[in-house]
Amino acid sequence: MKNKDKILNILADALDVNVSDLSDDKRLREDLKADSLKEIKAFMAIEDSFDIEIEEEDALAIKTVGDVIEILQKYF
Amino acid sequence: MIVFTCLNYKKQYNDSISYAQDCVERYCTILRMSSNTLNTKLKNPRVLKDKLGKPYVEDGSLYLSISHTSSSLIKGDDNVIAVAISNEAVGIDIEIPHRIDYQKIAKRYFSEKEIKSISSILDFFVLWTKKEAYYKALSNQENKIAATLDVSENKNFGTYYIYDNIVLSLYSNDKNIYFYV
Repeated sequence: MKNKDKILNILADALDVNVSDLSDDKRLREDLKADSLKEIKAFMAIEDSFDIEIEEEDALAIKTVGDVIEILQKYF
Repeated sequence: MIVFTCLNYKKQYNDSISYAQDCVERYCTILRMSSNTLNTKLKNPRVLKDKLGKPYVEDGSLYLSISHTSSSLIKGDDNVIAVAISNEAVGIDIEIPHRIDYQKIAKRYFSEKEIKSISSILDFFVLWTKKEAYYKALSNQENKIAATLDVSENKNFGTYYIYDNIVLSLYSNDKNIYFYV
């Protein structure tokens, strides 16, 4: 997947976890302990890095690391 | 309403639902003890999660809301949880104020009125937790990001500070609030 490594690094930094913790099936809230603010920070960091704007419905649909990678593909 | 909080809850509980279940049982015990007649038939309802991950009490007899956060900024421990239980719809959120580009986030998600009400990073976290608490209390808001819900006109909030540096906001029509820390 395009840009996957970069997205994972941004996600790990925003959620304060190791990249190695970010398997596709990991849920942002339950498994990675992301609260709403950490999620917003992660999405905004990704937006800034790739100069994109994530639509609200896409942000709401993201529940797992796999969702982040898959759903954001349409922006590249 | 009773609000239960616990520092480093992961040492004692497998997950937030386990802790919430314990809180419901304590809430029911308190209700039994405070009622005029001892209702031995009152059972402890189960705490479950719906398809959206929102916790609820199985028999619908109570409302509950859960919030947890983890950070090295929490004194002495790294995770904290808060559970609010009431016989009316309730939402709770906790956050640890920390350095963040809050103006950028506020500009993206908050209303003009809300932005004007923020004059410090603490104001931002108070407002953020109110929005999250509001979102959690209203079960029909699945199609909205919590941050976009305008809370500037709403009065059913209470904001408190627990464990020195954690902001806790509640949203409910239930104005009788007791803390079990």
